[in-house]
Amino acid sequence: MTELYSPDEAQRLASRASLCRAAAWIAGVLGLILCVWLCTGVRPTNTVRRLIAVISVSTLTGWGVILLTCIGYRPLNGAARHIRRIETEEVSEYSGTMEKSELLFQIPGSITVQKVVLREGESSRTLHVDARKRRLLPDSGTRVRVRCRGSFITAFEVEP
Amino acid sequence: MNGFRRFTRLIPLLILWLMASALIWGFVFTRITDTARENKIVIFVDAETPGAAELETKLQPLLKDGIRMVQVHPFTYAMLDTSTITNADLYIVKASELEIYLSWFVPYPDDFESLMPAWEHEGVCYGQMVYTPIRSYDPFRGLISFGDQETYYLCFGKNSLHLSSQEGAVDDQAAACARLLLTGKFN
Repeated sequence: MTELYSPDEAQRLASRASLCRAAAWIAGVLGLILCVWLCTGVRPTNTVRRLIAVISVSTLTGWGVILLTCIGYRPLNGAARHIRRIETEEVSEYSGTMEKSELLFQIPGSITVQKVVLREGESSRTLHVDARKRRLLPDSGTRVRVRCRGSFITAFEVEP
Repeated sequence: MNGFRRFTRLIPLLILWLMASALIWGFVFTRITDTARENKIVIFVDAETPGAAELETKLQPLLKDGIRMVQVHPFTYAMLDTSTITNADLYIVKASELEIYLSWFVPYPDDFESLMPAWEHEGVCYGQMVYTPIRSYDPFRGLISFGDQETYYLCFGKNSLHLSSQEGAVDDQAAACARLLLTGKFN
């Protein structure tokens, strides 16, 4: 079976998330220290220049913190927590013809998922896949055997 | 959701942060670069003041009695806050507009020497000439853009705390500053 998750993936994602969070904190603290230092050097002849410098430093630092947090830390941390959560779910296996939905939806505070419907005769079963892994799955219409933890597909095998 | 889409969704937040930064630090700078009215002389000028910072730096060391700061602003500085301009210590106003702003002024003290031609209202001196276009020497060159059309007069503010003839005054440094501006002895 093709595994969608590597054994240490949660740990790697958590480490990268921690790095992003640390970088955001360092950027924020350094930016604040620099702004305070710029304020202490204000004189009547350099007020406007210093104000522009402080606003620039504050803005760029804030943007860095926002981007590191929202594009770096949160998605990585959400993905690591998702993997750790599904590792506690019951394992089950199913077969059928796969139909992948084009729609993606965001679980609040967690990952983006894609819905996958597995059809076997008259019955169907709705499963989910981490949107980051969706391109690893075969195309719709393929007959597959999947391993799931809860409703999340963690491995698949194309059936002849 | 890929990184680019995440970024585009953050644009409003980034713009909001820029505005908040400008607002917060602008407020902080206003607080840290200001001082109490008792320790500063405020001059409002009815003209552009490209060299305001330089003029402030020239005047402040020449004043005494705890004056820590001189602020020079164009009239347009006080667009949103009229108390800033009505509490000024000195005004430099065009001759054609003296009557418009007369309610902001007090007469020159009786013991203030007559250094320059005066502007009188109902026989009382409210201003002395601080700039004229036909003057050969302009001590305000590069500091205040008076233009070449009108004469300007220096007047005392009725709410000044630095004119000893006024009730509640803490010192007479507005008069000292006026002498410096009228004689050009700040260069």
